[in-house]
Amino acid sequence: MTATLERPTEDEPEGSRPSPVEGRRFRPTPGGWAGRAAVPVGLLLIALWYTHHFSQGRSDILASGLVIAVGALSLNVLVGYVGQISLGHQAFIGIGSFTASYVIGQSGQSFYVGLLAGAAVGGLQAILLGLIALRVRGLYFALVTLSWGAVAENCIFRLKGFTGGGEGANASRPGGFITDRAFLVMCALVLTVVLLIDWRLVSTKAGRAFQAIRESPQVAANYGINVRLYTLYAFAVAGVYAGIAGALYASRRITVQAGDFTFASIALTYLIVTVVGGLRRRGGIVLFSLFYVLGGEYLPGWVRGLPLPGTLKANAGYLVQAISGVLAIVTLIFQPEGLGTFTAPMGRWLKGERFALGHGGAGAEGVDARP
Amino acid sequence: MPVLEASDVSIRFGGVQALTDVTLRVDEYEIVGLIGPNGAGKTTIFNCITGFYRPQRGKVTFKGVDVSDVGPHDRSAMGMGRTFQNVGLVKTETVLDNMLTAQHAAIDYSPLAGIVGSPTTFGAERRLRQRADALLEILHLGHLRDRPVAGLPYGVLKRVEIATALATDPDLLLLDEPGSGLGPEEADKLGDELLGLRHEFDLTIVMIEHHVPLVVRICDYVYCLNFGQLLTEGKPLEVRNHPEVVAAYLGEEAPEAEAEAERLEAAHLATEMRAADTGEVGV
Repeated sequence: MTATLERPTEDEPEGSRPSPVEGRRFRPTPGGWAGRAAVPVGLLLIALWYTHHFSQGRSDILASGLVIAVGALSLNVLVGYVGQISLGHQAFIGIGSFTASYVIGQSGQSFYVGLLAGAAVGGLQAILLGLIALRVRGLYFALVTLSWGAVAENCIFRLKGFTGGGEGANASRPGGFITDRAFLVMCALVLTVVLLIDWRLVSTKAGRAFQAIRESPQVAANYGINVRLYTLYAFAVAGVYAGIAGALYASRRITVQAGDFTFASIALTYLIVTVVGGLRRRGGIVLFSLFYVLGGEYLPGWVRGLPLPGTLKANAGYLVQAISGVLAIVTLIFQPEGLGTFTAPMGRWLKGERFALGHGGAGAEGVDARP
Repeated sequence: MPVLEASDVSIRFGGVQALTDVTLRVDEYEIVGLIGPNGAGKTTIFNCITGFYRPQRGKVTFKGVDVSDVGPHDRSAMGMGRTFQNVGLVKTETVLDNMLTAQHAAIDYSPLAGIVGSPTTFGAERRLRQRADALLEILHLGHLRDRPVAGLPYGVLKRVEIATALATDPDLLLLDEPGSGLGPEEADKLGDELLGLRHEFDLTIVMIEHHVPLVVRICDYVYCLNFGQLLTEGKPLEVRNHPEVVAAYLGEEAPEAEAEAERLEAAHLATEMRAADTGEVGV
């Protein structure tokens, strides 16, 4: 402790790992930059080849993955940033979806108005749920969200005037984005905007407030953070993301029905994608959303071609769900950062740092300022 | 004008009367010590002052304003900076991020401007960073800037916490056992540092501290609590030599210390006997 009272520069053990300062000074060579630039360009080329070389249906697969990504980012705000669980996200996504299709289909407004309306109503319903979250926490709040999902499924989504009942509600796509290929571009644009918002969220005061609240409401309050207000704010942000995801979902499908928004198909799936992608790891979440839909598309066919018992082949359609569930358990036990374990260092490498697994400047074990 | 005034503060948890009519007054630029045996209610009065507890009776006035109905985050924003006995930091964040989070109330852009990426927020964030770095340098913590808080040793955490408390831009700093875990020499240095910080930031300081020499050296005034009541108050030396304070401290701790010494002696004897049995001497 003595050393910390003076500056212990000489006493600091050197050489064991690059110090954070050195890490910041590192600049890649021109070749290094070229390698880094090649990665996004390569990914873009693969995506272009994949969507243009084959039928339009392939774009739709990717688009559904991007919609899941937006929905999972919404869960990430609640579960990852403020540490509130939501088991009722089918309500979040569904309400956004039906609001958008109501505005687009029944009121005849444009897709963009529907998108904004979905976002706004999604945010409002989330704030209502957030008001409850201020009263009950943990397991009890999880139960509240579970029942909110059930209420939405069994009551709200059955309002014929709102959701069109069994026929479903229509939400046409915006002009210029009618085809699957074009709508994939729309989904990518919206996801990009959501990612940018999320990036600014965590880099500014609200994101830091969320992090503090998640760990200790007491410490957060001591830092001057209004815990109640910022908890509600997190719910609002999550609701807006979910509303946006819902609007995209509706326009991607063109027709949505109450049966599309169930606990298993939305809430559980999105939660698993969020967990396996990695809490607080945007890159991992987007990546696993794509893996999830691509797996759902190609794994069954591939497995059916393998010499396996008939029952396995017959149920191959559920393979990706089963694998994701197992992955979620593995993630929770062994690798809490999920795919983020790999995407986060990749991201730092792309930004021009050295490639290193683990957090830059971390490795706090054995940090001791004693001489 | 007193910076802080707590008058007749009483609080009860179930059947335990934690505080009874505690009154204390802290003037500007004072360093006030709060001493007393374990369980005397020192941290409880801190929690009443900072708003984490709502006393059943009495009121707290801060800079002339009755803050009895003001929440802890607003009191922090008004200029109360506080450290916790068990270290109140966001453990998964780095030291720097904690310093940024702690400046929350000073940030003048709205949270919405932050997430839509308004240009002003980038400059504001840069200024927060500069201020955080400057404070870390003052407390000689600059080299730990990018380290996650989890994993840092206790003594360092106590210092980081003082840095984050300063980052909230306080007029009144409430320190809960800043010297715990320090040896006499280190406590001496901490004392110098606190005096320096008071001078540099125009601070008024209230500190809970068990290290009596530190209290005597830097405090202008001392309150002693015992069983939730004010035992006595006065100049540090007067309080230290007050017979009731001596009784409260030593009268309770002496038997414990004696018992501890006996236990150690017995343990020592046992080891010696074992060593004699196995024929090993002086391992």
